[in-house]
Amino acid sequence: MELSNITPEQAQQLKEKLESMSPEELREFQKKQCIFCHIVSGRTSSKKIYEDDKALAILDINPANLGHILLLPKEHYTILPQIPDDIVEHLFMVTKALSHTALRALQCQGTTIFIANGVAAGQKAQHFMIHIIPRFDDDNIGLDLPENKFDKTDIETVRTRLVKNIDKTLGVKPKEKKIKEVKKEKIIPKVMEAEFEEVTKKPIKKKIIKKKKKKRKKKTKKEIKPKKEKIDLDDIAKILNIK
Amino acid sequence: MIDCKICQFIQNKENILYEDELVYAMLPEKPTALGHTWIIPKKHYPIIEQVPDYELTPLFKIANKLSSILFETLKIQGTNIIVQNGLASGQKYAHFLINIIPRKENDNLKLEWKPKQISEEEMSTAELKLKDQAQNIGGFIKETPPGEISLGQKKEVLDYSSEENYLIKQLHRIP
Repeated sequence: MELSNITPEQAQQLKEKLESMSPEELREFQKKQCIFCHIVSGRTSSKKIYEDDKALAILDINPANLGHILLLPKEHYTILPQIPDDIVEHLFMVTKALSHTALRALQCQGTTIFIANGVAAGQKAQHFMIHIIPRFDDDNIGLDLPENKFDKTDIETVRTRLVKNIDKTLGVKPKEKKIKEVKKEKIIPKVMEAEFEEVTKKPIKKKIIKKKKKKRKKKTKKEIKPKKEKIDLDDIAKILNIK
Repeated sequence: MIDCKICQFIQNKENILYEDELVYAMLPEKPTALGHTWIIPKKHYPIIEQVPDYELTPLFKIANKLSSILFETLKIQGTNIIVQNGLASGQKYAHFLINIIPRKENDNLKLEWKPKQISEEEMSTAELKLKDQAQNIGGFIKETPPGEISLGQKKEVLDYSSEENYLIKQLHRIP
């Protein structure tokens, strides 16, 4: 039955049918409609690369590059969060092995591992899949991740919101004490940088800064010497006292 | 690795989201989208092939969980999970990491590719080569080898230490 040939009455009937279905029945229905489930069952032909009891790897018919592999779970899942942990583990161990396979078999210079969860992310089929795309230098596929500028405060507010929810769902709070220490450390190199910038921008001031530095060095040397003497005297005094 | 920027981020707890014995998650300084997350192994491995299975699986399990948390927290419509493996793939740091990119409809991110025209002959030779090499796949090592600390074990230790602290605090209260 083609969708375009459905009468309004039939459409209504179908709608009612779908609404009355249990989640399991719905999943079965989705499976029947899914091309990739047909590929897994063998009803639709494909170029199989690897197969085991949980996963199947095939060549993509519309590849981004030669040797573009699709890794599918044999069970029907739409997005990653629906998949149980043991299958997630297995899929990514196979992904790693397939990436290695591509590097060896096709002598490519790298691989891109790509997953789309949801239509907004570019997902086209209703069956979860991992793309393993062989990459060659300057292949211009267009999968670069642009680095965009966002306000630091915006990133920080997102971070605090996420940390809250991570703590809620996983029960883990990151130890953030060290961050404060890091901030203090960060200030020092920034000042140094500023000094260097001045030096490069205004070469006339170079000598003055150098002189200042020399003076500082002298001062520190002077400071160290009396300290040593003091320590020696103290030590002698202590020894005398003990005796 | 001293020279690795990612290793330094881990040490400095830069923009931290999550951390356990093996996994570190953070927000990068220059994200592709707001909420762009990195999942990183604490040990230094340049590419995925070098990461042992027992360190790889916790990374993707956390990536999956954080992906769900991003969905709920930021009210997004989708996520892309991307690994750039090798310079040709656009990898910027010599430390393996997983990108999670929050997606919304009409966000103007073009993370797509145009299908390449490849002859049937080329496809078949690629298939044969890959199939031949894929016969070596197997022998996954999910278990942590003895001597290495697994996730579960260390968590228990951590729990104990917090209990101890609690007990010690109680002891102090007793006159």
